[in-house]
Amino acid sequence: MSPLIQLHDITKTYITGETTLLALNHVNLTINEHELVAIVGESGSGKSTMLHTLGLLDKPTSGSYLLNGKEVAKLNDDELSSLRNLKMGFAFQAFFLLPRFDAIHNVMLPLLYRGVNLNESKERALQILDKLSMTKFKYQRPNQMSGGQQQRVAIARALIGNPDIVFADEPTGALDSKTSKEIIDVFIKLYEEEKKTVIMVTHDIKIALQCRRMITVKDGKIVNDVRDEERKA
Amino acid sequence: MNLKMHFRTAITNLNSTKLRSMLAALGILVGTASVVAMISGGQLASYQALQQFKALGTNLMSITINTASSSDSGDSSNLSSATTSSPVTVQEAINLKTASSDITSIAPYISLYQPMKFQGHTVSGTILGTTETLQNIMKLTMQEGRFVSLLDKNNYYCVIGQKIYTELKKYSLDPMGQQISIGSSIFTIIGILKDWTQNSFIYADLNQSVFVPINTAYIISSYAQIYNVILKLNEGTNITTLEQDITNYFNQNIPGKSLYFQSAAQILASMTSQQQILTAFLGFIGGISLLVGGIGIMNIMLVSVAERRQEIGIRLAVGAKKRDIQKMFLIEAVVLSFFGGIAGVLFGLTISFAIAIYQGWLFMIFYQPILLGFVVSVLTGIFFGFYPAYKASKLLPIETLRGIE
Ligand SMILES: Nc1ncnc2c1ncn2[C@@H]1O[C@H](COP(=O)(O)OP(=O)(O)OP(=O)(O)O)[C@@H](O)[C@H]1O
Ligand SMILES: [Mg+2]
Repeated sequence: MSPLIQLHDITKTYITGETTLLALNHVNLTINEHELVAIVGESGSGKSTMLHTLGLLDKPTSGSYLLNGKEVAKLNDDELSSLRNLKMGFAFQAFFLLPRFDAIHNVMLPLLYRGVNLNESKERALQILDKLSMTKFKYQRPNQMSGGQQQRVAIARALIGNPDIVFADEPTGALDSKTSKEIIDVFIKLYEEEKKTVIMVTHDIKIALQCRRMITVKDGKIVNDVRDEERKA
Repeated sequence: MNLKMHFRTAITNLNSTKLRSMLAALGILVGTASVVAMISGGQLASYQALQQFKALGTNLMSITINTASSSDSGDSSNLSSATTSSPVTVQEAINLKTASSDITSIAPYISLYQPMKFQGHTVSGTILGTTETLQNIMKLTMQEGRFVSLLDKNNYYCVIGQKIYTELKKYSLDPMGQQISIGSSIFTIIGILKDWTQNSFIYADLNQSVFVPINTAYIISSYAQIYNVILKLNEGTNITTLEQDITNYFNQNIPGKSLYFQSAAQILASMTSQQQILTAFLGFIGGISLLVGGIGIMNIMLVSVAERRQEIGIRLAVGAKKRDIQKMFLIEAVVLSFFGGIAGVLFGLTISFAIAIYQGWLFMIFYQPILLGFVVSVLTGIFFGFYPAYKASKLLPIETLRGIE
């Protein structure tokens, strides 16, 4: 069976005026199903760029990206949208909830774009909100919730479509340490109990150490890639 | 995402920027209202014009007969023929029927202005010397008694119009059979007409007229002369040919006359074409306001797209396709202009109602301007919403998310 994700010689260049910046510098990376991966590195090292590329939100300048053994460079925008919708879930530092819609509507969005009808979407959104102990906030809009609550809603939205991979870019970056711990526990549970692949960018070394695999990025290059087993050894 | 869901989303989004949405829809409202008001106002006017002729029919023609003034004074024979040309007699006017087989009946009439008195009170009105054909052609209905006739010869009988009747009633409970003085003669009222709907084909107000037998008119005044003849024609008569036939007839039998023709069909046609020009012109103005309204919608939608880049990014990230994004903005624009359209149609109808009241027209609701108002407002929304929506759909997920990260 082919690995879940295979990056081969991926580069990403940003050209701003005269300067050219290599945000991803010939990256090779393999991630299997059911992994819990932390991506760490200095600010500006290319962590987010890597996560966005993996999450099909951004396109690499060159190289090959096989998702479930299939080259994604050949896919058009609509096929990429479908893949994100069916296989991926996202959580960001800034939550990225729709400000004009309440928690339920934010959570059910991926299902609506999948063509699931309104009632079923609502029902499933309620179930997932309940699972994240957010039932109380179902009719609240983002500006009526705390950061931790908003992140839970964002995670509920990431999970409602039952994705294979959950991407998180500094999901606790805007939260205090107690709330951070609760949110990280949600991701660890996802990995342990629901057997999902979780890929998380973080600044926090304590969080990174809780993950089974830690990838260190520097100047767009993977400089270190250790798994738990190796760390313990 | 299905259409219903798109509409709900549109309502939520528009609702959260209420004031702005309302201002944007206002432009469409004004545009739609002017289109609806102008077109339905125009239709009311045409209807009004048509209505006048509906009762009488359009197969009517009037001829005004004048004695030709000599154009060439140097030619003595011509001059003498002009001066000696006598007025048209009643018999000559009636014989005009032989000019064309398209003429079915003829009503010559003489109009006179003479002081009238009823029981010592002055009564104002036109005196018309007529025959029974006028009643028939003008569809005059009797309230009481009978109309004057050629058979009355030069008897002193008269028939009064409805307004005269109302005036006389002030002085006498039952004017029927009573006497009224016209000039120096005394007439007996033998008939009263019901109210007659004003018609631009005949200039006299028949409600304000006193009808006397045509031969009697010659006795009342030495100036009495037949200047006007009304003809009833066969349906579908060729007016130009008929005018030629009549002109030829006059040249042969009653020379030295200048004729002025007017046909109901022509009056109606010119009224309708004037109305159409007006409607088109006003519709054009409405179109311009819609254009301005549409640009307003486009402007608001462009602002909205720029402001909601993050939302677009989020939607793309969770699986929205380009066409979903495009639909979202397009439907918002359409919903916006549709609401503007509804309000505009209502407002436009109110304006045309006010016009009808002001002009004293019968108010009716025509479906065409309403339908047109809706269609045009929705089309405006689609047309002017398309570009912003297209622009939104071109954005890439990461571009839209990065901005705020
Ligand atoms: N759209 C862009 N245009 C130009 N340069 C960009 C663009 N996006 C990112 N970069 C550059 O690419 C590099 C990598 O950026 P990236 O956001 O991946 O860093 P990061 O590791 O996530 O940093 P942080 O920890 O601060 O979030 C940075 O130097 C950044 O300035
Ligand atoms: Mg980053």
